[in-house]
Amino acid sequence: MSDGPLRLGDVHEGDRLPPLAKRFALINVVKWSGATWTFVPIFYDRDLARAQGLPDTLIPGPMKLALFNLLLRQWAGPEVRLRSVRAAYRRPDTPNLPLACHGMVTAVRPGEASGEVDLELWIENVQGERTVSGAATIELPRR
Amino acid sequence: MADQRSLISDDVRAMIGSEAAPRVFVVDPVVGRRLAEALGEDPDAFNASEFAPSFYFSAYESFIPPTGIAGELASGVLAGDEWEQYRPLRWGERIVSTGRIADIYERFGGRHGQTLYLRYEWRFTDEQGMLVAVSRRIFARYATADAAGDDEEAP
Repeated sequence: MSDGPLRLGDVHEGDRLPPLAKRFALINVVKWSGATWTFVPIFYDRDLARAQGLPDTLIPGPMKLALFNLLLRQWAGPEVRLRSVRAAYRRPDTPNLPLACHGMVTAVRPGEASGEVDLELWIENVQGERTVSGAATIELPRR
Repeated sequence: MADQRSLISDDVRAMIGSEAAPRVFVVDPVVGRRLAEALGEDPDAFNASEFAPSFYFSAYESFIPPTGIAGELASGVLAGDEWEQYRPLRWGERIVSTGRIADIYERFGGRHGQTLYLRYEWRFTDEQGMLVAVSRRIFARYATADAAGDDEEAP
């Protein structure tokens, strides 16, 4: 792979992205809630979360979706053009536990000046379970 | 379960297609810094560009309270999220979002028992009225006793 922003020619079907590791503390979630001005009690009220049968407060889905964005940025460069991204939140994730965000190229479609790359994306918890499954399409320059 | 009844009454069905009042957002570098910090990233790495990072879209609130149907299924989670982004956001621009309840459906007998799914669709336009992004979000609602937190995926 060349240095600098990723080019379409650098990418091949089946390529695995370097994983992104994160561990969010409750304060990260509180900061996210403040920045988005969405205060859902299950994201910060442990007693409420446990009363609902959950092991702890939850990490918001959009915050986990943002990890997909960070993973793509880390791999393809800061100016990566995201066309679409989707996530299915399969299992709850709670603060203070490691998360690993992974990706794999599933298709490369060259165009004239640029091309599209489809990716499978997912987040694994410390048990290796997929807690979020998703996909994205990005645009990359040909050269 | 044989005795389960549908929660999708005529009143609930009538909510499909209902719209939320438009909301106006400014793509604010201060918010961008705070989001980056919340994600454990260096905020300076994101504000140098003309464009906001793609995760900024995640910050948009795209939830319409499901008034009138939450009582029986008290717990809820975001089950799925989908974004189409037609161009990056520029710092300082104003974005108008319009949301509607696109669909309401239910499932019986899953991990959470009876689950009601609410699918919202939001459209984001810029000051020229051009479409910038579309988001679709699915919220799942189920009874508290069933909220053991396993598979949340929407069907």
